[in-house]
Amino acid sequence: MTPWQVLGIEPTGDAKAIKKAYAVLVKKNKPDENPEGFAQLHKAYKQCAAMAKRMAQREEADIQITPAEDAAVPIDALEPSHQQVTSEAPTIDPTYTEDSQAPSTRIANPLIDEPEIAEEAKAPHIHIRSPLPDDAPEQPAQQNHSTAVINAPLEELEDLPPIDFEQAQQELIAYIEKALVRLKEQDVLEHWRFIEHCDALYDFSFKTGFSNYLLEQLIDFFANTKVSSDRRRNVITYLNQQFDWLSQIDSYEEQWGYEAIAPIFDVLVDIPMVEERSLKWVVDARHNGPIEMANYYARLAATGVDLIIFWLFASLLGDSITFAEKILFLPLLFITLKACLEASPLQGSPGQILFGMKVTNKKGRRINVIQSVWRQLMYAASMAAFKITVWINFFLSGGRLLHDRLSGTSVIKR
Amino acid sequence: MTILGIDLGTTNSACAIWRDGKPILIPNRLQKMLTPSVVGIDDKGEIIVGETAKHRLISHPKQTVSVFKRFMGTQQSFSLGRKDFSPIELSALILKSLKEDAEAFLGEEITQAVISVPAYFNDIQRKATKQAGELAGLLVERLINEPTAAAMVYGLHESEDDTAFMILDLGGGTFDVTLVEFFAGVMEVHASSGDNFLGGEDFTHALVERFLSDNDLNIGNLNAREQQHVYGVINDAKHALTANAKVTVEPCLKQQKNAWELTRETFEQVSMPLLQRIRFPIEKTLRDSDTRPEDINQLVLVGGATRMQPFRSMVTKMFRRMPAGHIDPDLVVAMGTAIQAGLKEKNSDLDDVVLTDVCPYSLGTDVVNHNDASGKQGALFLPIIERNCTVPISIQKTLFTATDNQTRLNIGVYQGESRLVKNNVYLGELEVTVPKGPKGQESVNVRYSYDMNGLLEVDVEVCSTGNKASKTIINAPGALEEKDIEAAKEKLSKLKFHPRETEENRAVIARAERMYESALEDKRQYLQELITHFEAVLEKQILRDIEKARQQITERLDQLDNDRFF
Repeated sequence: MTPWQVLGIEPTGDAKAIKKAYAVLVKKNKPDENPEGFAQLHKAYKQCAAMAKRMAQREEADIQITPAEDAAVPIDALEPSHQQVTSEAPTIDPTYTEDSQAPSTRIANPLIDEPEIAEEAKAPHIHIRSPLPDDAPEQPAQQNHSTAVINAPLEELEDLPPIDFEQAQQELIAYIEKALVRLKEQDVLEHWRFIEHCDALYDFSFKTGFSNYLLEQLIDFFANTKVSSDRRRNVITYLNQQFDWLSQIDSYEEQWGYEAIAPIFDVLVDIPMVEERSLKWVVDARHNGPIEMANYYARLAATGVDLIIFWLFASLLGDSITFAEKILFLPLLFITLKACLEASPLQGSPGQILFGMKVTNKKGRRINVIQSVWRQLMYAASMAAFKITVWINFFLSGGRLLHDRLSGTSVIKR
Repeated sequence: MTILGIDLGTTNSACAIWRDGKPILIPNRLQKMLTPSVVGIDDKGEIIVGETAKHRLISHPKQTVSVFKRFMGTQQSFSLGRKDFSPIELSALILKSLKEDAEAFLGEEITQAVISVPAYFNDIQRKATKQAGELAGLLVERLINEPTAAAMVYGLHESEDDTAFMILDLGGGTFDVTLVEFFAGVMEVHASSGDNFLGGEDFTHALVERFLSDNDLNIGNLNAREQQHVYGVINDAKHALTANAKVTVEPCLKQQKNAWELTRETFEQVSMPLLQRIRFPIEKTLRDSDTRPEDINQLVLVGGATRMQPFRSMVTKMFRRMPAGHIDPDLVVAMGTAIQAGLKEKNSDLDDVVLTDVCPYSLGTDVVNHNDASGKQGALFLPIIERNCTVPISIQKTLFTATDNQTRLNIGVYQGESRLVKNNVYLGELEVTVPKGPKGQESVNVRYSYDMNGLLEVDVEVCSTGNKASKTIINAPGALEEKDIEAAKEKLSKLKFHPRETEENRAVIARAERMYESALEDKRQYLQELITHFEAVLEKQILRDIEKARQQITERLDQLDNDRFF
């Protein structure tokens, strides 16, 4: 069954007719009453709508041929230089935009009473798209754009000063050029702050175009210029905060391939996740995310902290026990108290928590008390022969020490 | 059977029902439509909810909690006096209070409800919300996404056909953007996006930081009570800024020497980074739905924070037009839930409206990352249900064994948009056993089904043996197990509640006490007198006198409140 048959209509480019047919059928196949029927219907509806859209675009393109040919002369003439625009010389841009503006003004004029609005209406598309690699076929959309804005309630726009997109674009391009030159020498984000003060960037289409253009410029820049990785990271991170590139990675990858965008996105993809600010005492019984082994020296330090704490603990008993008894008291504390702490939701002793690590089994889950006691016994045993175990541990790779291995546990980052 | 529509908000909650072809808002015991989502406990161990509790946030910060909705679905617990409560239990207390108000208003028992949740709530958080309803004695008929609810209100108001709405919902703690199309009685949600940790409170927070730095203060040097107090004052100043271009905050702390002047320009400056973040979900929604700002017919604002002037001016700049706002942005979601309740009741007026919604995030599983030699990236995320798919939806993908002689296959269930699993939210996992064989020989069919309530079910079937495993995501941290629900019910049933009848008096005293906390010497004296006087009248228990005294004291408090700024 074709999607058209599901909707019960003949293939058409008329979006309204498709919606109407869908609306009638969907009332008989409500999503909460007939989920499967609905899913099938909805899929057909989407497919038909997409086909209709393509059909409409093709028709529109056909109609547009005549005016587009008018425009085609200057655009074609500029085509080669336009290619350069994207790679090297943004200075050519203004010429291009001025020329391509002419035909569109002609198209838009008869439709618009107020010339000022006309300026605004057509401006975004021409300018923004110009830095893009494949904007020539965009011409038909332009007319759409101007008519759409006319429909917007005019009186409500009064408060807003009209934006001169052409000027904004020129300014931005000049700023970028300057900022990139500075980037070679020093690491100052100040040179990029112009982005925050540009009103034209509130326009979605303009911003999209500009964002793509800037991305291209940066990719180019990093391909040809050596910049320290810190500086690169700073700038890219900042710009990502402004343009949200990371969330569009899929479409960029599709457009240019990951190889091409790697210089930018390698930096972004590796940005560490935002860490929780507060010190977390209790951890989830099952480790979330990748397991990272704790650092050997951090573990040594944690043991040191624990020893001090336990020593203080033993000292609480005061003079009731001798010094030697106190020393014997320590292993006892390890086997009882530390074992309990490691098996508790804290999953670590105070020292381990302080240094951001926890004790788990090999799969990253919390261990039970028996395993924990066994772990402490293994620890005591390996400590008894510490002159040997120090060397064994030194040569063990993978971050798991002898007593970890003997008790099937791991000490990992929290 | 009446189904109650409830907007369970981060800062405020409200409820409404569907009657005679339109949504009717239900006033609470204080005759207000909004009930602050604040829970407190008093010295007698009685639970207080709403306005009264909100006042006590300042006077009794240790016995009062707010903004717990942000922690729905986590294991965070809040202490009220000596008792500990989970976010689910606290939400249940709010729901219970709303339910009682509705029952008093309608004079009948209510057992069913439609509750709104932010579109961005994940499976765990939705489940937690359902459980909160259950604890409050409400069968949750349907969870509805807040923006969808708002769209329904506008969709039904504007009979105009074929309209595209963009709903911007900036609440206390969350921001949601949704694109909805309404045609021929069909309401179709196209794309949805948002930020879970961005809301009006962040703006207050930014202002507080500015206030403290302007006055050379450090938040660390203030005690909990002073902090709460500063937040309250600045929050009020922020609200006052909607109507006035300039607000002067009189000294409200011992450490603050001079009055602090807050202008709209300052506010705009302080909000810059937050406004930047607000733009992303809007742009993402436009991109996802392949829509231009010009194609949108109506901008709908939801949530009290959308009244903020910097927000409005930013939206106006982005869309070059004014947003629609003739329905109170605080109440529009509650009205929408009532419409959904009406749909559920199969009220004939709404028979024609069909609502289709989307899954606002991608759901998928983890797969081996062959390019990850260093082990830094970890597993890759394979989306099974893509973001913004229309629900209900059920999609099946086939996965293969990754190593030779693999006998067990572990299917992790994740939610999120990152290519790397480690950056996405873990929802649960399933394990199936497969026969031994070379890698790639054995395969499993993994089916994800996402229903209208936003609940996910995962089925796994081993192709060769027909072994099956199925799971409606459970063992999620933060959601309660069956036995926990029973225990929580027991716990809540043991709580004493403050009697409804005296609530109004109680609220007035709480308000006066709150103002006492924030006032300086001379006014304190006066407030103390007012409180003592009112309490004396209360003790006499003559209803007429109490009513009169309450009116008087309210007027005086209003007067004092107005003196605080300017």
